[in-house]
Amino acid sequence: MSTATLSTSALSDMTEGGSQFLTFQLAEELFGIDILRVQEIKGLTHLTQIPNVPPYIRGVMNLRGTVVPVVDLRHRFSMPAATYNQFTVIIIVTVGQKVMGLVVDAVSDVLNVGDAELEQLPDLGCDIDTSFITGMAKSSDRLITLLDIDRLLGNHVTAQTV
Amino acid sequence: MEIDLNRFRAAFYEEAVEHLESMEAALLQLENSGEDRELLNTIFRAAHSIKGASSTFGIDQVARFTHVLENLLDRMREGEVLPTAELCELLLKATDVLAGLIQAEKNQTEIPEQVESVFHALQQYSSECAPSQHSTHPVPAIDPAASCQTWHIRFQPSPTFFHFGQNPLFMLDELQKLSQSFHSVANLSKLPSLSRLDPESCCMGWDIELTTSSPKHVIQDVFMFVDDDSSPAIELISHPETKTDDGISTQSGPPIRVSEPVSSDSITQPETRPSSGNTNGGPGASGERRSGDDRRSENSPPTKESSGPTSAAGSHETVRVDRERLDKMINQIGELVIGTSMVEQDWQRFHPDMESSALVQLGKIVRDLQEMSLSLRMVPIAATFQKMARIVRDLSHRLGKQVRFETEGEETELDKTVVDQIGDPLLHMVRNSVDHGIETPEERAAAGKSPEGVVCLRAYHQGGNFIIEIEDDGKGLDRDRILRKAIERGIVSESDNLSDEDIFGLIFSAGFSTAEQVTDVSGRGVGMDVVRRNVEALQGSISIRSVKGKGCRMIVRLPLTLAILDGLLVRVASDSYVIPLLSVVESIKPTSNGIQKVLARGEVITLRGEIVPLLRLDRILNLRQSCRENNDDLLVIVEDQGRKYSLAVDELLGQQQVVIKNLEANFQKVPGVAGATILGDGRVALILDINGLCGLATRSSAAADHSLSADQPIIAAEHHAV
Repeated sequence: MSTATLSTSALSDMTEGGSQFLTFQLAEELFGIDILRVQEIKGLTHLTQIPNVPPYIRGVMNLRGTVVPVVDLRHRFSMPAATYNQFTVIIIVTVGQKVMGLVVDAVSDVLNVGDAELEQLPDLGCDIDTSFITGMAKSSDRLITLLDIDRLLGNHVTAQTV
Repeated sequence: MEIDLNRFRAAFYEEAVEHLESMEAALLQLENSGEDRELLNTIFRAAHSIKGASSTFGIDQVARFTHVLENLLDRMREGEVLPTAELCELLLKATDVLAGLIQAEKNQTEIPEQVESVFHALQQYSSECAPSQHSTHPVPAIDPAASCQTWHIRFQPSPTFFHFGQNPLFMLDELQKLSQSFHSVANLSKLPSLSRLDPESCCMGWDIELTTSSPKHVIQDVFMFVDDDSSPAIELISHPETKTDDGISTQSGPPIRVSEPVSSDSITQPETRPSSGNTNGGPGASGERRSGDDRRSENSPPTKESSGPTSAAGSHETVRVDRERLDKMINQIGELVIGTSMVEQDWQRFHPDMESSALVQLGKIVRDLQEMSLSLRMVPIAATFQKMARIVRDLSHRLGKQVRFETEGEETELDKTVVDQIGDPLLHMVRNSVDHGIETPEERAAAGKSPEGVVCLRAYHQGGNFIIEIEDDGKGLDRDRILRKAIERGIVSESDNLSDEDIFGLIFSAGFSTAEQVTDVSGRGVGMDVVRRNVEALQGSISIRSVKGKGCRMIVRLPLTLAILDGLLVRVASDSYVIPLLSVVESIKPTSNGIQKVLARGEVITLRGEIVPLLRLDRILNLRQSCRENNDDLLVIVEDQGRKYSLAVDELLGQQQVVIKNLEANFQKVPGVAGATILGDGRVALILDINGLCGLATRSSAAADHSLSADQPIIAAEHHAV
C-alpha cells in the first residue's frame, strides 16, 4: 500500500504540464525514462566485468575517460537474457552525482506525455516489485511503463555505499 | 562591493596561510642567525600584507593584531629592539595566534584564547623602548634632526598600473607620512588629449622630493607592491643635517609641463584632472578622496596594501588554479593520449604497410603534453619540511634538549596529494626522533657526543620514487630490547631468525608503541603502526636503519604521484588486469608437479622452500569465464604485508604506467579492486588490490566450506543466486 502512495506523489511531481520520456524496448515491452535524466545514447562497447557485484551489473565501460558502470535492464527485471545485436544500445543516465549506463534492446522514440495520458499503475496482483514504476502512459495503441531512475538504480547504489 | 570582496576571501585565507608560513620560517632562521636585516624584512612584509588584506576585508581582529605586530617588527628592523630568544618565542606565538584568528574568521568559530595575552605582550614590547611612540604611526619617531636625508623619487607608473588595483595616491600619502618635508610635481607630459584619454590607463608620473629620516628601504617599501615596470627611481640627492622645507630649489628633474610645486595638502590635484574626463570615477576612485582630510578617514581601506596579494611583491609568478579544474584537464589529456593511440591502431589496421609521420608527430606531442600535465600537480616538499622545523624547535625546548634541525633537498617535487598526506606520518617520525632518539645534553656529553643533537630531513628522487629520510644522531634503536619485547608480546618467537631490519620493523607492528617499550619516555598515543599504515595507504614503504648509540635513520619511499601507477598488465580469461608493480615479487612458470592441492581445494606451490598459497583470480573474482585450469599457468608472486601469494594468470601482457581512475566516482568500492584504468585500446582494466584479494580469498574459501563441493560451477551458481 505504501508503495502506491509513494508512486502517486512522485507521479504528481513529474507530470505538471506533462513531460518528455525516452522510450526503449526490452523484449516485447516498451519503457520510458525521464528525458532530462538521459545524458547520451551509446552503441554497445566493451564491458569489463567487475568481481562480486550483482549479476545485473554487466561491468564498466569507458565513457571518454570516465569509468561508468553498466546495468543490464533485462537482467534487472529478471527477463530472459538476449544476445546483444546491432540494435543493443547503452543509455547513459545520471543518478544523483553519478553516471550509469543501461543496456536495452533498442531505443524507440521520444514521447510527450500529457497529464491526461498518464495512468497510475494498477495493482498487478502478483508478487512483482513495482516500487520503481511511476505509472503507465498510453501512446497510440501501446502502453509504456514509466520508470523512476532513482528508485531503479539509486537504491542499489546508495544502499551499498552507505 | 561586499559581494566583490567575498569572492576574494578564499584567496585571502590561502595567501594569509602562506604569509604566515614564510613568517614562521624566517623567524626560525632569525632565532638561529641572530640579527639579519633580510629576514626581518621578510617577516615584516608578510605581516604587512596580512594587515593590509585583512583590513580590506574588514577582519578587524586580524588587522588590529598585525598592526601591533608590525610596529614591533618595524622597531626590530630599525635595530631598536633586538631579536632575543624570548622575543622570537613571542613572535612565533604571535604567528600561531594569527593563524588561529584567521582560521576562526574562516570557519566562523571561536577566536583563540591567547589572543589578548599575546597582543598585550606585543604591545608592551613595541612600546618598551620608546614609550612616547604612538602605535598608529608605523615609522619610529626618531629625533628629526638626527639623520635627515633628501631623496629624489621619480615615480612613473606603467600605463597598466590601475589594472592591478593600484592607486598612486596611497603611495604618495604614505611617502608624505614618512617625510619631514615633501614636494611632489606631477609629470603630465604623457597625458593625451581628453578625447583620446583612456580612463583606465595611467598617464601620469610624479617627481617627488622628500626629506626624511627613514632609510631607503622604508621608502622602497612604500612601493613594495607595484609591478616592475612601475618601480620608482630613488636617488639620494643630499645629505644635509639641517635641511629645511624649501628644498624644492634642488629640483633636479627634467622640465615638466606643469611645473607648479604642489604643496603637500593639494597633492591630489593633478590626479583630479585626468579623472575629470572620466565619468565613472575612474579605477583610482579619486573622486571620493579629493580632499586631504578624507584621506586618512577610518573607513577608507588601504588599497595599496590590499592589492599586495595580486602583485606578490615581484616574486616568481604563479597562477592559482582550482584543483578540480586541474584534475579535469589532466584527465582530459589522459583521454587524448588514449584517443591518439586508438587512431594509431586504426591507421595500422587500414594501412598496415604505411607509416604516418603526422601520426608519429602527434603521438609525440600528446605524450609530452601528458608528461607536462602531470608535472603540474608537483609541488616542492619545502613547506612540509618547514612545519617540521617548528615542531623540532618547540619540542626540543620543551624537553630541554639541544637539537639542530637540518633539511636537504627540500626543493624536490612531489604530487600535491602525496605532500598533503605525508605531513602527519612525517610529523610522528620527527617527534619520535626528537623525543626518543636524541638524548639530553648531559647524556650526549657522557656518550662523548656534542651536546647538540641533529635531526635531518632529506628528500630526493630515486628511480621513479620519492624518498624521505629522517635521520638523527641519537641513541638509536635497542635491537635486543625490541626483540625481547616482541617475544614477550608473542609477536615473534625466540626461534625465529630475524635480521636487524626485521627486528627494527617490529616497532611498526600494532600495539608495539615505541613510546612505552623501546624508550622510557612515554605519553604519546599514536604508535608507529599508524605511521606505517599511512605510508602504505600512499602506496609507499618504510624501512629503518639504526646503530645503537649512533643514531637512527628511517627511510620512507613514496610514489611520485598517486595519479599514476606502475603496473604489471596481465590477462585472466578475456579481461586484462593491472597488478601494482610495487607488490609484485616475481613471476614464475611452475613445473607440472609444482602445484599441490591441500584438502583437495586449497592449492599451494613451493617457492625455493617456502610454501606459498595459490590464488586463482577467476574463482576469487567470480568471473563468468574461467581461465584454463592447467599447470601451464603463469604465476605472479605478490607480497602483501610481508606475506607472499601467487596469482594464476593466463598471460603477462607487460609492464605499464597506468592512470588510476576510481570506481567510487560513479559506482562503489569493490573489494579486491583498487581502481580502474583505461588501456590504450579504450577498454577498462581493473587494478587489483592485493590486500583486498587476499581477504576475498579467505572469505570465499570459508564460504566454500559450507557447500558440499568447492567445484567451480557451484560457486558460480551460488553467486548467481545472490
